[in-house]
Parts: sequence; structure tokens; C-alpha cells
Amino acid sequence: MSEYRAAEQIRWAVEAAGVVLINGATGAATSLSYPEAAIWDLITRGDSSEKIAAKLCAIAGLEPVAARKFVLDTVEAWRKAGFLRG
Amino acid sequence: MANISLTTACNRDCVYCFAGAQRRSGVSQMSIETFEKALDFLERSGIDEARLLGGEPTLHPEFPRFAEMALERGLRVRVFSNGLMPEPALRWLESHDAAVLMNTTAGDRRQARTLGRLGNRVTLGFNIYTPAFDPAFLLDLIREHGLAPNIRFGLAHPAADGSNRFLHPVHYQIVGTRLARFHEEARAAGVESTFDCGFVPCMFPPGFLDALGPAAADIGTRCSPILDILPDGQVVSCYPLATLAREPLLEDETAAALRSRFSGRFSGYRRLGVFRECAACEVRESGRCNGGCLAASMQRLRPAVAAVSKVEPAAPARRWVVPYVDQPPAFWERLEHEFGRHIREVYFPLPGDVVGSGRPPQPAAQLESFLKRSRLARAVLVNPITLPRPVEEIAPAIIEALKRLIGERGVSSATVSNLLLAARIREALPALPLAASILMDITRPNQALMLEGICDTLVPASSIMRDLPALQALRAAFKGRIRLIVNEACLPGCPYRVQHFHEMCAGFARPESLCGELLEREPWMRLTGAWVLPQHLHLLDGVSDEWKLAGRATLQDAPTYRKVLGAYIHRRPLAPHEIGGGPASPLAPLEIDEAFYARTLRCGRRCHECNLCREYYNETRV
Amino acid sequence: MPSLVFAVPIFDKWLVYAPLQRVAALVNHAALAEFPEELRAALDESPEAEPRPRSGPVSPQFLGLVPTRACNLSCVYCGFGATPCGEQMDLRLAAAGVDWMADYSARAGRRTLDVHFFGGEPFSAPDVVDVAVHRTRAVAAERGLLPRLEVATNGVYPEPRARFVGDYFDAVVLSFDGFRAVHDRHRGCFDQVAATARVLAASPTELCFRMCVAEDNVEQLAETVDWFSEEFRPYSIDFEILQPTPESERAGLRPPDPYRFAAHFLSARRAACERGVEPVYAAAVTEEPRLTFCPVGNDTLILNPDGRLSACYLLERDWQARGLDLNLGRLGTDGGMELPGEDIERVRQLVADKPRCQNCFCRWSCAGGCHVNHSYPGCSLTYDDFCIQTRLITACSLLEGLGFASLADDLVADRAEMQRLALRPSDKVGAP
Repeated sequence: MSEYRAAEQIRWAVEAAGVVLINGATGAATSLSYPEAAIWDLITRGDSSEKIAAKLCAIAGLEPVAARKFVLDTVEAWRKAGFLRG
Repeated sequence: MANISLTTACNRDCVYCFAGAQRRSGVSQMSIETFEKALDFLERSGIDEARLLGGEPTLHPEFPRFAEMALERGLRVRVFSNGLMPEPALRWLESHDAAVLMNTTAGDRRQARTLGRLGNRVTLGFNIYTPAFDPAFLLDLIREHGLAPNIRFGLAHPAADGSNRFLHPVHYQIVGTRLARFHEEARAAGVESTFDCGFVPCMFPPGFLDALGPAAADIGTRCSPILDILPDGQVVSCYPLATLAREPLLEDETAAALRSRFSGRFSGYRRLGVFRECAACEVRESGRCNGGCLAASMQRLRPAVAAVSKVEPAAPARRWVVPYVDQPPAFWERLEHEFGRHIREVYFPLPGDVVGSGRPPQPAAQLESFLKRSRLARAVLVNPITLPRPVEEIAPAIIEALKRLIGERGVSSATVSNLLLAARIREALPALPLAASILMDITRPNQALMLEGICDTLVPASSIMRDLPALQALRAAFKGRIRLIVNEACLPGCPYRVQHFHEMCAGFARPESLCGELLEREPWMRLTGAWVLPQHLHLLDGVSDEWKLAGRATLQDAPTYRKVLGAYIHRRPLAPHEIGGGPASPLAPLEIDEAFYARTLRCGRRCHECNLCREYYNETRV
Repeated sequence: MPSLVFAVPIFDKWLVYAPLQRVAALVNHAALAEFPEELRAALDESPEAEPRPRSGPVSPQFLGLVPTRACNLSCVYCGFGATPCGEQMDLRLAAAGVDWMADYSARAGRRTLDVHFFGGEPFSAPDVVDVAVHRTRAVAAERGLLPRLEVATNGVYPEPRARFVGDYFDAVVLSFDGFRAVHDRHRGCFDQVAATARVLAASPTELCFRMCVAEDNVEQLAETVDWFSEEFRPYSIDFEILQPTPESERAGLRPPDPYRFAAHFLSARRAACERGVEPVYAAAVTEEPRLTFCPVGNDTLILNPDGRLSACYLLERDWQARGLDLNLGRLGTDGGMELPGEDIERVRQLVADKPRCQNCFCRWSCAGGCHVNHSYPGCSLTYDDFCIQTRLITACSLLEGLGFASLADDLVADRAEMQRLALRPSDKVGAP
């Protein structure tokens, strides 16, 4: 995961039930609910994909294989959406 | 609604000011052409009120003319002022139909003149930047001056550049509870409260908004682009968001179109709300609240790489050189905590008997402990009015003493009153920054050149400490830093000065001030001394890199020391008898008007043909 | 005359206090024999019922999570004996604890899901905290609850962690003992703690400073409050007296003289109120009559790293040394919960009987203080330093509430008068 970072134009805020991302360039806002919100937090604090997946098992009650796939799929979707670079 | 900001100049320095970015970029005055464009814009947009603000709008040299122009167009005029108005502006407001919204703070006596003369044309405004506020004094002001029976409360919102102090949303509920309590008291006195933008329903106790009546109607939804037209003709959504987006004032633009553009620009951020819980709030869902101030909401945003971000405003430059007084370590520790970010160094005389300190000795029982424990930078004074022996004889001993102080006591600079001695020190200790003492009596640019390569800092003579043109000339001539003493208070060009300093330096136990008789005869001369009050420091900002607080003898009392230093650092008002000045200081609690003080900075001390200080003294003394 | 009316001497007057009627009054000596009509009428109002031990199904206000007993500091007064490394809670256990609390909160019709973190230093097990925080928020969202996260922490970690704490926790109790010299003498790492405090002060969280008061900083309370308020703008400051330990004694730290503490606390409390900061001395809160002011007896469940559930976040060996058993049950990593009713009942009854408090006017507010360190079975029946300062502060609070702040000032300036009040064996009206 360390090869991914939040894109420079993205700013984000913690909300009661998730995280909201705002594109500073366009003003567009996107809400992330759980468990994606947890992945966002852990990525922005520099956790590796393995570590995020391990934590996600406990956070979302997923099996390790499923957790790892979920993390990778989510990251890829965010990369395509421009939330992450790398 | 739209506001026209006539000038960035201001004669106050409120900690919560959200226009700091504009003010720091230098004084900008709106031109008459831009003002006419702004009036056209109001007319075109169907707005019937010209709301004039600043900075302090009345400081615009053409304020009366501009206000007159707005009235001539049939617009109502409302002025947002801090009350410290030049006389022409005040006279204009007295004689014309204009409303004044005057922001005030507790204990500011300087507004009394304006309040007394404008009476019920004034509505008081009060900005809340801390949960520790007590608005009770507002009712006294309204009663005393017969002001409009209405108070407009504002929340201090964060400027996007992080430059001001603001009310953190975590304190909203405390503030709401206090306001609700005050509102009952105010209403009993016949005074109503209104609330500016950013207040949200959930900050008030249940039932309060119902009791408040119509004034509660838009609490929660007042955050929208107000449109502030800046002196240069640019338009911003509001001051707190000024650094994020601005638009030019185009010929055919209307307020509605501009508002729509700003709303679109910030629409994504509207999702935020000031609290994490806003996203799940039913009141917000219902449309009765839009989540409060957008700028405050944006404080919750984190940048992409949160780990390396900084949200704290940049540390202020260390601009204050302050005296050592003989206080225990707890005092210095607290001083460091409170003001450490502002303190450049603490100065004290060269210990021992190598050379006289230049002043009567002061208690120093705690000096060793200060030197051992405090983390504040320290500077040593080597500045008698004359050296007791020839420079070449005495310099080696002084240099040895300085070496010890640098090595063992962490002294990191020195102030020297003799240029040859300074040169010798520079040769021996090239890394030690040196300041040319006030006793070098530097008043002219040619003297400044003499210091080159020897002194890093120049303390101008007290005779020009209140002479702005002379200071500007020195500023232009000297490549190093200029340090002004704020509270020395000696008379300019005092004829007794050399003898007085000699007596002090020579060790007479209690050298008396020699100007006493003169000042008894001509007490008004105390107004001409070398001092500047905290509230007027901004007038000298352009000619000073750093400030020195005198007071090794006069500020020995710890609370007084902290009070005076705090006032100077934060530019809170003091009277001249409170600043810990010297024997020629004003002794009575005089109120010093900024306009008066500003005139004395350029008067050239032509007291033989000018009665300004005599008259001012006679009018204002208590 | 109602049975639970107390009176304590304040110079030549008496402070009458009926906690169950929520009535306080200052009367002359003569009026003590026969209360004035108005006061009698107020005292005749139906009192609230005496607080009783809880009954019925267990109903915790929050789940306490102890991710680890390890700590990255070695504070000189800490008796935990913590080391930087130590047992960490299994991530699945943390999730199971949160799930149990979420189930309970939803069933009980609560609006919030409350999880509080204790240590050691909770962030010595950062992964456990990450999981528990996000699990709490995730299940709260699922069940329509608002997550309420609190943490007690030493603040010694890098800025990204401090930002996480500020962004995700609703309240943070940061141990901060005052100016550099004091804090470093007590705890160390002043610069790091101050940096964390600045980050937290700028964040959305409610920042509470917990200040340990000892002999060496008792005289700086008001100054410290001034500085804290100016520099960090905390929401509240909680003043806690140094609990002596062999470690603190070795370090030469002693608790403050209770009379001096009461006097300085009064000044500090005023300073805090003037600056809009809430001052807290938890034992003197008189808002609502209570039988206990700490987790014990309140059905609080503290989940320890090994899965043990206890009623107190102190170490098991500490309460065992007092002859107490505060264990309540056990939670497994699979979510299996053992919470025997008889253990819940046993701990509830622990707070019912506090002989020392029977005649004290603070019995329903202080409620005996800490059950492990102060009101344990077999503790002395005479007032100790904690009782003395609490009695004085409570009396001053009541006087201030009645509008006699200057009398409170006079009281704390007069040691003999303080002793007359504080050492009085019984406050019940009619007592000698």
C-alpha cells in the first residue's frame, strides 16, 4: 500500500459515520462509509496493504483472503477515481 | 447585502481579526473610481444600503466624501467601526443620517468619545473568540451613552490562512448557554440581542430560540456569501474565506450572480458542517441549519498527507528584548510559556566590576539560577555613558568576561555603548551579535554608516524615538536591525541626560532625576518623551525590526512585568503611567488619543510655535 | 426534622445542606436550633430517595477497553510498573468487546455507543486502538448509534497519531501536570506532550487535561490554569491528587497538604471559570446524589488485555491487596461472554456500605472516593487528607452557589476555621 498516497488535491474530514473526501480543485465531495472509511484512514497514516488487511479482518469481520481482496479492489477503485495516486 | 471595505488600515490589533491577511499585505485604500464601481454594483443588484467597513473605514482619508457619495445615490449608509475615529469622520457621522455598528471590547475607554457623541445611532457589536466572555458591560455602555437598545453578537470565525484566534466549535455550547443567560438579563433591561453569521441551533439551550423570537429565524442558516468588496476592487465571499477565492468586480456583474458563483465554488464543502455529527443531524436534514460557518467547518479538513501538515499558525518572530528582573525560576518559566515565542532575549548588565553597568545596580540574587535554568536567550549590557578607562586598556578584560559569559552562561549577544569597544569585541568574538546602545546617540544616517561591519542592531537615540521621519531615514541607511525602546520615556534631547547617566554609572547610590524641576514647571513636556503605548506600536511597525522593553528598575514586580509585556506583545491598550517608564514619564492616568500621538511623530518638536501637547495635557489630565 | 440534614460551621454561621432535597442555606447559630420557616418548608419537600446500589440487568454506561498495560513512559508516581512492551489485546477480542457493547446499547434504546480507552498507555498498542475505533464507528453506523470515543493518554507519540486522536475521539483526557519543570519532574517528555496538546486543541475533540497535584505544584495551580487556558484552550482541567506509591516516595514526591490544596484549588477553579474552562475536582460534584463516583458500582465493564472483565481499570493486584474482588467475568475472542449475575451483584453491593461516610455531609457527592485506594473494606474511620480537602472544597462550592464567595475565600484563608469544619466527626444536625 505504501506505493499509494492520497492525491494532492484531495482533502478529507472525519464524520460521525465515515469520512468525506473533497476534491480541492473541483469542490466535488464523496462520502465513504464503513469499511472503506477505515481503509482511507489507514492509508493516509501510511499502513501497508498487509497491515490494513489484517486490521480489516477485525474491523469488518472478514476472512484474511477476503479482506486482502477488498483492500486491493477498494484501492484500485480510488486510484481510478483520482483519490489516490501511485 | 454586500460590504465595501474602504481600507485595510486599522488602529487596533484584535486577536480575532479575520482580515489579517489583507492587513499584513500593507495598507491599501480604495480609490474613488473603485468606490463608484462598488456603488454601481449595489444599485445594479438592487441593494439599498452601503455597508462601509475596513480595516477601520473611517481611517480612509476620503471617508466623509465617500459616505456622502453613497447618501447622494439614495443609499442608506451603515458604518462598521471600532469607534476610534479621526475627528473629521466623527464630525461627519454626527451631522449625517448614517448608522454605526461599533464593535467593542470590555474596558476600552477610548471609544467613549464616539459613543458619547453618536448616542443612539450606535448599535454595539461584540465578537466572541473565547468561551470566557462576559457581555454584561454592554448594558452599562448602552445605558450610559443612550445607545440603540440592541446588541449584535458575532462569532470569531477562523481565517483560512490560520492567522487569527477564533472560537473553536468545541466551545459553542458553553457560549450558547452564556448568551442565553445574558439574553434574559438584557431583555429585562429592554435590550434585544441579534446574532451574526455562524451561530447554530444546537449551541443554545432547549427553548432558547423559541424565547428569542424573530431574531432566531435564521440562526443556523446565515452562512452564505455576504460579498466583501476589497479596497482593490476584488470581491470575496467573506473575509474568512478571502484567501481561497476572489472574483473581479465586473461592469455588468450583479450580487446574485457573484453569490451563485461563490456558492458553487464552495458547494462541496457545505457537506462538512462544523461538527462531525452534522452529517447525521436531523435539524440539518430539515434545512433549519446548514452546518454553521463554512470556514469553521473547513478547519476539520485534512490535507492529503496529513502526517506532515501543520495547522498551527507560523510562530511569531521573536521581536521582544526584555529586562532581567530578580524573580525566581517559576517567573521565568511562566514568562517563557506565555511569551517565549515572542521573546528574542533577556538582557542584564555585565556582572562583576570590570565596567559599570551604566545604571544603578539592581537586585541579582536570582541571576545565577536564571542563567542556569532558563531557556530564554540572554544578552549582556556593556553600556555605561563613558568607559572608566581608555578603550584599549579596558577592552581585554571586557572581552574575557564576555567569553566566560558566552561559554558558561549561554549569553548570545551584547549591547555596547562605545563604537571602538564594539569593534574590539567584534574582532575578538566575531560570532557574537552586537547592538549599538541607545547611548551611542545615533540620530542620523551618516552615523548609521559608521556602525557598518561592527554592529548588527541599532538602537536609535531617545531624541528621535518618536520622530518618524528621522527613524525612516535611519531605517533606509542601516543594513542591520533597528530596535526601538518602547518605554524609556526620556525627554527628547534632554539637556540633563549626560550628567544623569554619568551619576548613575559612577555609582552614586540613588542618582536623582535631574529633569524634575523642569517637569514640575512644564508638566506637559512629559507628553513629548520617548515612549509609545502598545496600542500605537503599529504606527512604528515600518521602522522597527524589534522592540525593547526597558524596566530593570520599574518592572520588578512580577504581575506588572507580565501585564506590561503582555500588553505590548498583544498590543492591548495601556495608559502612559502604566508602562514602567522613566522619570519623565506621564504620572497621571492620561488617555492618549491615536490621532494626537500620530501627530507628535511628525511634529519635529517645534514646541516654541506649537501648543498641541500643552493643550492636550490640560484637556486630558485627571 | 428531616433525617438527612447536615450542617457545618462557617465562622459564626452554619452551612445547612440537605443533599436529597438539594437544599443549601447559610444560617445563624440560633437558626440552627429552629430553622426559619422558608428553610423548613424547603426541607419538608419530598426528598429524593437515598441512592441505592444498582439492581436489575447489568447496564454499563460505557465499555472500558484496556488495549495494553504497557506504557512508553515511566512516570515517577506511577505504581503500575508498566514497561514499554507488554501483553496486547487480541484484535478479535477488541472487536468482540465493541460488538457486545453495541448490542447492549441498541437493546437498551441508547442513542450512543460509548467506548473509553485506558492503559497503561493505550497507544502502546496502536493496532488494537485502530481496530477498536473503526469497529466502534462501523457498528454504530450499522445500528444507527452515534459513536462516543474517549481516551486517557499520555500524549507521547508523533504528530500523525495525535491527529488521528483529535479527529476520531470525542474526548481526550491528556495527562499534563503543568509547567515544564513540574511536568518533566513528574512524567517527562514535556515538549512532546505540549506538541500533542496543541494538535488536539486545534482538532474537533474535547480536550481535558488531567493534572496530578503534588506538594511541588500545589501553589502553581492558578498560574498553571492561566497558562493552560491561554496556550491550549482545553475544554476542562481535572485536578487529581497524587496517590502515594513506593515509586513516588522514592522520588521525593508527596501529596499536597489538603488545606493548602483546597485553598489553591479554589483560586484555580475561579481562574478556569474566568477563562471559560471547566474545572473538575470529581469528588466535590454535588449535582446529583450518588452512591459512587467511579466505575465501581456503576456497572462499568473494563475489558482487560487478557479478556478479563473488571469493574475498575486499576491493576488486579492493587484491588486484591485491599481484599477486593472486582472481577466481573470474561469475554472470549469469539464473542462468548461470561458475566455471572452474582459477580455483578457482589460488586454493586461493595459501594453500599461506607462507615466513614455515614455522618459526612459529602456522603452523596464524594461518595467515598476511590473504592480501591480510599474507601476499601477495613479502611480507617477517621477523615484522611482526601476527606479533608473534599469536605472543604464541597463546602466552598456550596457557599459559592449561595452567593457567598467571599466567605469561601475567608474560610480557606483561615486554617483553624478550616480544621474546625474539616475534622468535625459528624455533620448531622444536632451533632456536637
